[in-house]
Amino acid sequence: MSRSGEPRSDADIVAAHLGGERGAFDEIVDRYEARVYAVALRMCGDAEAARDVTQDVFITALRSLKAFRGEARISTWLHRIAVNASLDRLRRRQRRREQPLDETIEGAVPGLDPEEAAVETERATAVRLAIAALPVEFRAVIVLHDLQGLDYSKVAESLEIPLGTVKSRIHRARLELARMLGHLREEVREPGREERPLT
Amino acid sequence: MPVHEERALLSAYLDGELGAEESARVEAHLATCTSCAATLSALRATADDLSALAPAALDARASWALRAALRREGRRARTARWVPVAAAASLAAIATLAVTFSDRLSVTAELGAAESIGAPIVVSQENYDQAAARAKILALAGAPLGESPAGGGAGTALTGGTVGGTAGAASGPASRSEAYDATDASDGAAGAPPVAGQDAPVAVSQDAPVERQVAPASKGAGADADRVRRCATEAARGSTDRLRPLLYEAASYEARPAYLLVFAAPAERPERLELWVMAAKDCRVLFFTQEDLRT
Repeated sequence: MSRSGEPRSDADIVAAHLGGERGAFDEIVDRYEARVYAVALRMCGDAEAARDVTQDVFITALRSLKAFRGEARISTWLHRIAVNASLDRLRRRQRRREQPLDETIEGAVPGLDPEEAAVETERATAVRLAIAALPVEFRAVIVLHDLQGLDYSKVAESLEIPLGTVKSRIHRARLELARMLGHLREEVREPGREERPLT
Repeated sequence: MPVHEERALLSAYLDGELGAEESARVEAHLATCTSCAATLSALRATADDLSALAPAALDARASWALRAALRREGRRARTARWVPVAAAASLAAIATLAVTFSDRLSVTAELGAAESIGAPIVVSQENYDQAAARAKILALAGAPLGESPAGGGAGTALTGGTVGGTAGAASGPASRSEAYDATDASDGAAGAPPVAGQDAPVAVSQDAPVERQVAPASKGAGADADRVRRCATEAARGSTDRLRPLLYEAASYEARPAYLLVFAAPAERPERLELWVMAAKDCRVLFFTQEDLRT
């Protein structure tokens, strides 16, 4: 039960939902739909896909909530589902187009809703395209950390990878972005930079 | 360019993710290494750029569609039995579905004649008139507001476009545009402006990017009818109210083939209209809105 005047904790809302309270899950949606959409949008690079992924994420969450034991926080859990659902979508699209998942597709980033496009600055466009051009494992850490504000340990939890991997991916992703955005002049070659592309 | 050990820590340093000892080491190194200082500067500029990205926002209609899809999902466990009912005679170009869910899980399905769905209908957003569209829907719904030209009262499964019941019967299989003309003619009380059949506004809320392209009704819409029924079932699945279907149409939504379904709810005494746009392929909810009929 929430104290008067204070919003309920996520854990309380989940418990309420599992206890059969109507409208409890709606509160979860209220709290997280923007975040889930943001992850999907920056991972998939297009608004229509992001809307579909957002639906998929919450439907999955609704279906699996009983199995959600609360070891992870629900926000971490939702972020995980969002990244995975985005990757699934990208893989399906990749199979259809028969292109390697991590290849930059010139000029093929549909990107934005018209309203967004109208107000986007040149700088924001460059950033958006750069993120979309990152290999997916780099994109995921950048989206979760830099755009969603998750700290390294939460990124590790969401993606179910070791903390050390998060550190190294974020660093390499940033260097990649820095190059694309023109902040780094020299070629950056770090040991082990070549990674196996995601299946 | 030699790679310094500390270089790999620069991002973590920038993000405040290093312990005190490691931070101190990096700082000490930065004081003496211009290359790493430059890299750090580049990383800062990049982080700065990232914050220039506008926050992504789910627009209202997508948010509605999400909730509608979840409502539908929430009731997934329910099953439905189709009980075929004799098809109503003399349906106009738009066939209707009567889908009613109740606690007893009985479902009646009534599917009209084959001239159901024509090619998708497109109207431009410019000639859409919300007031006229709303009036049209209300007329179809036989709702208490305004005249009820349907003549069938609240209990009948109304067929879209056959205002007064007789118009469709008299003219036999009609193209959709004719059906809308018939509706317009009876709409006097509701104040709908006369609209040429080809430009009949679609009954959606003003923000909907649903496109409809006027085309004559075509036969052989059996497969489509099945798909529409499936989507209508999906839509109704999540509702605690009985839904009375008013009309459905093939449409396209952001270039995706879709169905537009309008329901009145609760069926017996409509308080609201629900408009669903669902992907033809898999009945995914693309758009949803509802209009309170009581205002």
